[in-house]
Amino acid sequence: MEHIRLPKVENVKLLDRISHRRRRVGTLYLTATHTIFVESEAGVRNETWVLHSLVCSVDKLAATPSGCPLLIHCKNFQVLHFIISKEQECHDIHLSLQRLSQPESYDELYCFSYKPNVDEKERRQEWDFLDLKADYSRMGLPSSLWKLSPVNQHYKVSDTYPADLFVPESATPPVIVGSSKFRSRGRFPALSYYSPLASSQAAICRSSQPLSGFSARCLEDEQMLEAILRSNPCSDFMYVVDTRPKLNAIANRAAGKGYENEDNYSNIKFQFVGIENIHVMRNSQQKMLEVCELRSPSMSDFLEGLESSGWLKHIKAVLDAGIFIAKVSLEANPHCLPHRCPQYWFRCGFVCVLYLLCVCVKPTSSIFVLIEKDWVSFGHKFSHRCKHVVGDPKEVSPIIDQLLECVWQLMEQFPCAFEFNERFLITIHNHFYSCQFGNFIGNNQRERIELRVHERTHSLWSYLWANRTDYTNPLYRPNHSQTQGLLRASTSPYSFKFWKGLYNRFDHGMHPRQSVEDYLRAIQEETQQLEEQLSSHTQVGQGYADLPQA
Amino acid sequence: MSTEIMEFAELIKTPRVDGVVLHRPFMPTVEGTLCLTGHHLILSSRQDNTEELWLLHSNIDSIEKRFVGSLGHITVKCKDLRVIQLEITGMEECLNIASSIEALSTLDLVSLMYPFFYRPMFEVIEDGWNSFLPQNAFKDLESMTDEWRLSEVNKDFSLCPSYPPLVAVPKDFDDETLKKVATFRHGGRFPVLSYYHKKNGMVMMRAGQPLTGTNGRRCKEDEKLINATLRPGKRGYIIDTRAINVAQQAKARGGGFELEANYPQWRRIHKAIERYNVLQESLIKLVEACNDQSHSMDRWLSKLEASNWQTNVKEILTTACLAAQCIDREGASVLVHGTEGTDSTLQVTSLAQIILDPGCRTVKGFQSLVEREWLQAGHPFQQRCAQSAFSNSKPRHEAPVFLLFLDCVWQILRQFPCSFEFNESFLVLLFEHAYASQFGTFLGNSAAERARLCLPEKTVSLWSWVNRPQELERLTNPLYEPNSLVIWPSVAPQSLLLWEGVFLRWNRSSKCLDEAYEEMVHIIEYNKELQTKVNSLRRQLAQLETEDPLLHTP
Repeated sequence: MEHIRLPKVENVKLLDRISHRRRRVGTLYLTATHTIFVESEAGVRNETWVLHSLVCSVDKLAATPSGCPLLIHCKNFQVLHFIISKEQECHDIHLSLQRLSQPESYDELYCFSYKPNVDEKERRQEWDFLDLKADYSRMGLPSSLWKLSPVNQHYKVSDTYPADLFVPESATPPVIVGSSKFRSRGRFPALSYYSPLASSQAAICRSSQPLSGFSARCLEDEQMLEAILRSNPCSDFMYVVDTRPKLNAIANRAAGKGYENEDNYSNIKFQFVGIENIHVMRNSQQKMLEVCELRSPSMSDFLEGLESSGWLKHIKAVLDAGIFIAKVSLEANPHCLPHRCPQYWFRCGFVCVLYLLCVCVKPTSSIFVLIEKDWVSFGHKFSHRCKHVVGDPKEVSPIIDQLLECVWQLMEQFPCAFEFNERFLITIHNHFYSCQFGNFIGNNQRERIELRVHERTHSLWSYLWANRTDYTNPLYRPNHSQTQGLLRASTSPYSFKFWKGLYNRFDHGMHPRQSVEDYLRAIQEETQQLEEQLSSHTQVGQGYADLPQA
Repeated sequence: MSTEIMEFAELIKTPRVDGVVLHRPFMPTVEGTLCLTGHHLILSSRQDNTEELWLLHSNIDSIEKRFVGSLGHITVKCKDLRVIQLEITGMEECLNIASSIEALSTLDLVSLMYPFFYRPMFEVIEDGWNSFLPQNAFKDLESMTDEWRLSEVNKDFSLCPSYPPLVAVPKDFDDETLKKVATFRHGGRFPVLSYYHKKNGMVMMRAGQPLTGTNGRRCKEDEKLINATLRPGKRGYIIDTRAINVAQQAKARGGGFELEANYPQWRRIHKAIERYNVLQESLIKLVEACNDQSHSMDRWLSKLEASNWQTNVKEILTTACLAAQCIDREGASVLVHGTEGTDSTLQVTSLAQIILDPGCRTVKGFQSLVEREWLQAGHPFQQRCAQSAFSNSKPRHEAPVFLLFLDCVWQILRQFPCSFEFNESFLVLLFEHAYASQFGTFLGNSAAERARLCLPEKTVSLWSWVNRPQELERLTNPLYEPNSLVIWPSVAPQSLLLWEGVFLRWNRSSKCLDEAYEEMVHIIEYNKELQTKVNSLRRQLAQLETEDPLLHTP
């Protein structure tokens, strides 16, 4: 509370983003967790609540005759334009919000003060909702080829990796440790996904870039890859997919990092898929958002801006990478080419997830597992990328936005394939940033344990699960053909759309005025009631039929 | 044998070739016999389970041929934007086929068009030629207001060749006055009623540009005529679909616009809707962008932008919204015109009606709108739709004016998916038939031409075919719930999408989207089925209860 210089300002104007002439007048309140604007028009009590952790930037603009403008940009792409009549008040609100929206320590985060009406037992159960071990055993692990390795207990080998990791049966601790020393942040190759089908034993592994520089090699790392290759008996080669553009990888060599020297690794095909780095992505999104924020752009302004932002180009690169893997895996169907079934090995959780989405993940609960395993547990730097706490602005990047957008692009192409809907993705997006739930706090498993996240916060997954009717795609049927097997998505440029549902989320006027999905959901609810009535009527009718004839 | 048939026979150098291979995107390759008839290109494999190709010659926009050895490849590009490939062995056969197609697809004589030869294979329940007669539409108007009359001043098309024989005009103006006004308007297109807004009695009229010329000619009768539509003390809006500089330039050619001094009760607003040659260019560029194989996002977006297609969509919709706003929100009457009053004017008046009038959002209402505001109103379909995006010949009067209108309707349909009785397929169907059809509906350039060609007697109307239950079922929107409100579409660039159903129709598989549509239909049908079952059970139970006195005893 000590950061709130002014808890309440009256006679504040909130401008409509598109038409500044339309404005609402009300009172602005600052609380420890929210900015609240209460409209004071007679008759309506209209409230706008903005979580401090969702605030991305607060700007005080030059004063005008009507007052002092305060512009708030949020991480969920809400933009609020207030006019505060007194400059001093605006100044106080500005300073307060700047501080409130930039927590200096994890303990200030909203999840540690968010206390819904849930008792402790239930709260603990929330965290039991997802069980990653069960997911591994669903994949048939451990098996004769892959084992659970204790090597990273206490995070000694890689402090950003989870404690439980699967590695090839033949990988000994010295090989793993040796390989980890050759990899950035000790992130040695570990299993991410294993095909549970007996017919295909292809695996997806992940790691960070090697510290190979120009000449260094590492025998243990080469042995590690050899072990991965051998853990698939029906394949004699594997792909190493480097998610960077080749140029970046070459540049990194000068910094003592880089990419594997192909001469030192046998039976491995190297493939660069050209996903740009976090800085390019950050700048690209910034430019794209500037286009979204134009007040009444012409079609050319919009399309030119979209093009020059490069955003869709990056989305395409990410989806291309995921589909590349999916296609390679399909071509190497062991039934057709039993000796060429390759294994895959990535550096980045991105492509893993997309590959899996294309191949097997369509029900709602599976995407929980996917995000929990490949992003949360494998150590995506949520705190830095989403700027949960004050830090280096160069570490911020919309990687997670891109993941969700790729899923959305797939949903647009395959409307029946996913159990969840767009609203679900937008809700998850909101909570990646909101810090309301403990799931995405900290940068890795070790930090979350230190913060005692499971003891002190709530889990998003059980919240989403409890509200799943809101997030269900009415067109989804588990036995629909689109839910079976690989999604053969098109990545022709024209197949990509601009996601106004997310980036112009708060510009209600831009969205369709009638929702097909809501309509269908209402129909389905009615259908369910009808089914119940039908069965009860049939029973009653049966009762009549059973009556003895008088 | 009639002379026409003789003529076709001369054009067909080789009527039949065996072993022709057909390639179509996202469809299996078919090998079979290619046949050329007077109006069709047919490819049949003579196997039961493979699909045959029946292509109207009039649907062919351009053909290209090339040879690899003696194997000829003919690329056929259609007006509906489909591109197919034929592989023909033998150079002579291939050249013959190519030149025959070329000749048959570029026949200019209207009387040789397929609709004059087509015999329907279905029973005509309701003759579409009589479905939307102006006198019937006028009856609806009469039930709302007595301020308008139906004038026969143009019954022999002499006053305005592009108007129908019957037009609605203010009651107090006799035909003699109309004749004077006609001389003051481009193409004789004097102001006529386009739409009457029942809610507040405001009207929308359309006309050709006033022929003010450089010396500011005026016409008192014209001024009086349009003033007669104003309520006392109210102002009206003149929406000129041209930018002010274009309207200025028109003066030099005898055209112009209404000067404030002479029309003090009217506020003139200029909007910039592009004219036909620019629109044709835009379509060509857009289709070229959609067929670009480079897989580069930058290239796609920059080509899409450079085509200006979406800009045109936005501009037309914005102007239509403006017209609708003037009528519904401002409570003012509106006069819309551009230059001729046969293109952008009709886009605006018809879209404004979609926005304002729920009746236009039904299947029949939309047909009636197309009939009234496009066919009867004199949009020169035959000229505008003579060529599509692939034609190599220099465009003369071609322009996708009607296609842009359909695109705008699709945009509104996307934003209000439950407010239209018809679905996207209906719009695509209208696009196809405007460019090539077995029906006579879109032949000719005006009501006068259609009368001269005796189309109602000699051809079948598209509406006769569409308005049969089996066709309607396919074209009806399962989500439709009548919505009596005015529907305001968003014209933000983010809200306007590329019409995939037309422009990407042949470039990507629509399987998954079709499946989603079927799924949606299934959900709704299943619901209806249950509803019927539950209702009939309820009735049965009620009957049992009354029949069975035992149950009433406690």
